[in-house]
Amino acid sequence: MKDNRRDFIKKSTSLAAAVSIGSIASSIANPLLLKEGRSGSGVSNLAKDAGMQASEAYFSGMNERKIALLKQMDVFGAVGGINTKMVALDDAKPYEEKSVAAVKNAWSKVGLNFNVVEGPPSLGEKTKLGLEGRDEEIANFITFMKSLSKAGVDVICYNWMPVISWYRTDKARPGRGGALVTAFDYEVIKDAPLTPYGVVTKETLWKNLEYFLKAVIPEAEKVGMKLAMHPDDPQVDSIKGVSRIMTSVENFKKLVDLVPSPSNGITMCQGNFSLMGTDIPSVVKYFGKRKLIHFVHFRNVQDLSGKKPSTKFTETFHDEGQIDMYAAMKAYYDIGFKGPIRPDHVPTMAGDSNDFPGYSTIGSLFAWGYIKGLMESVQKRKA
Amino acid sequence: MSDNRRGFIKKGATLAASFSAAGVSGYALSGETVNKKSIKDNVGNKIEWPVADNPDTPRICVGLSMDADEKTMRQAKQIGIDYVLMGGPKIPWTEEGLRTIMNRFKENGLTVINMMIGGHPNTIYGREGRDAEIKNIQDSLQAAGAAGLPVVEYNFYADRLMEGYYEKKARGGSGYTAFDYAPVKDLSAKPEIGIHKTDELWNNLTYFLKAVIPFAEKAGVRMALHPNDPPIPVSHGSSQIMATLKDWKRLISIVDSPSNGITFDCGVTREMGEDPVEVCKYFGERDRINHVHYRNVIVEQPYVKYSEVFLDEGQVNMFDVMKQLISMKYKHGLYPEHPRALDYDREHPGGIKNQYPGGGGYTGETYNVGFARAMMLAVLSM
Repeated sequence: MKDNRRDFIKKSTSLAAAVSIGSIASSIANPLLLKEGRSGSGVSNLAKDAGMQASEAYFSGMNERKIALLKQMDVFGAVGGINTKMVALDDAKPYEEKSVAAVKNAWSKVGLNFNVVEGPPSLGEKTKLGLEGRDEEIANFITFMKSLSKAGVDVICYNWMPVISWYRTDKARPGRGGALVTAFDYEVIKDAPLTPYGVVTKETLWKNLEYFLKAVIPEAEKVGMKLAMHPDDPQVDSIKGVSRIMTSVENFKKLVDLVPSPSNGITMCQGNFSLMGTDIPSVVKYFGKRKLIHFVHFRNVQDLSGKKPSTKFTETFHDEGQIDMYAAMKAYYDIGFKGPIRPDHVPTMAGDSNDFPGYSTIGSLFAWGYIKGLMESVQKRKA
Repeated sequence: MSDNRRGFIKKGATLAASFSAAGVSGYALSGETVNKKSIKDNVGNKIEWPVADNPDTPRICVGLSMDADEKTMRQAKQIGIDYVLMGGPKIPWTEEGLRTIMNRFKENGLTVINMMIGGHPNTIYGREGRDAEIKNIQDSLQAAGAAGLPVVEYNFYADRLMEGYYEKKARGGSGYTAFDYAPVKDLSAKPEIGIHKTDELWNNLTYFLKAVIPFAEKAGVRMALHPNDPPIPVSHGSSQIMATLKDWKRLISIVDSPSNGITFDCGVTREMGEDPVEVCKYFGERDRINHVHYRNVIVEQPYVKYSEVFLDEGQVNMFDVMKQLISMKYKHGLYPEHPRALDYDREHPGGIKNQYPGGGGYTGETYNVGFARAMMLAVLSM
């Protein structure tokens, strides 16, 4: 697109000569084209993607088709984990410098910017549960941050959901036009047996989180790493005896106050924040003002429980669901968010596989059309 | 604009009621009701969310074949489409014939809002047999009115210059549909068509409009003439008479009726070097926009050299066009057409469903519809 535009501007200088050809000249009543040619045409005088880093998740690895398609969508950020097998370093540890550099390089080779770690090497259970061996995990995490920093990656999306992470009770719920979406209903699992870890209390989780932050945030500051805590998904009280704490705006405020630092930030996952029962613009404003939003998951959901926080919900297409997406995008733009943003979960559409629920290729195309439309609109609304 | 918003807010009250049917049809499947209170609490904005098409907004639509199977209809529904357009059957149309087609779509949640009518070459060339064609079109318009089809679109080309289109490489290896007049401007006339000059074609179009528009009016149907695209002056030796803004204005002056309207194509408008917002305003204020093609272009030289590009780039200010349409309460079809060629469609047999080099298929259209929907939401939220 950039090349194209430059090309156009270059050409527009010779337009003055060109427009005098034959009958065509008389029809150009207004000097619009020339004027636009000089000032940059149409969209081109706006910041690309409203100044944000349009990014896509590649959790199934370097999916060639998806990479090609997203480049055609003009989306160049790549979000994923460090998989050493992907770069033929089977014996290396994922947090080592050479692993990180190789992965970063592999993405660069296909023309994408690996800008956020979300996925392996995920922070371990020992740290979150406060078990023996956590100091080693934390030391590895610090090494990981240093490796990332050297490779030029500065955001880590992490979460505080030990044992049971992302959880859904339905991964193939029929949505609009029969597209498949994921859903969660607490009723279905409320009597599920405890995990081998027994009951894990909120106090334990908070204590361990504080321990982690105090050890890691000073180191993160040194290497310019931005930690971005993802809300618990689902943001319910507990699952199978394991408590959840990243489940309310209050708790997120508490998180960032535990160790105040530009490195101690959040992933603004709209779906979960909305299901907590809060409105997105106010949350964006609160954390955005403090420059603590390091990553955005731009998605939509629909509560089905009537409760706050929601105990039953479904994911939706971007243009349905309970979140006013324009208001949300406007909020990010207004606080000057410049970081990575990705569509997160999308419905699985006809013709696509549901092997990775939430990451359908066609679904992400619709999402990107919608997101790019919003990005352009929020900039133009004042024009 | 402010009128519009008020109208919209008013409708918001009824939206809540229709919510489970319209915006989130998926949930109805399992018989659950959506909690309305939490939605309201979450919005805190001037409009009700989600924004659905309402009687005062453009109707975002896509084109399907009139024989489209259920799978294809489902694909359209998934991207939030409630309205479709298509090429109509062979003329003369009958009420029953149209109803059969329209009902099949209706059963799948889609309303047919526009059919393209064709099969009138003698009318275009002013040859013997044109009165029979015109009679067929008059009957078709009556049938359309009776069947509840609001808009009938048509073309008026002596011989469209398809030869000038070529695929141009775009971002990530996707395709633009580019056009260059220079190599094809001297292509000769086909013997079966011959050469048709400007005055002759205008006479033929005038004859047609005077015969047909009163029928359309009576039937409550709006006709939409698509501009000549590419908008070059001469094609295969024949003139093009719908290829300048002056031509478009002349068209609507021939018979003064809302049934005598245009398809406003902001892409073609820009191809002619005109300002899409101004042109949209001109025809919209006169209630002569009966259909909209919503697409973007990068023009190197007006009329003769340009590329059809992604909606999010190019020289048409898509946001301002949407704003203009909504401010005038434009409420007919809005077709985010001409998807770009994407690898996904190229790799799937039958994925490219487009007659244009560099044109794409379903996934490209999916992107376009998402973009148009977001623009509409943004304007309504202002």
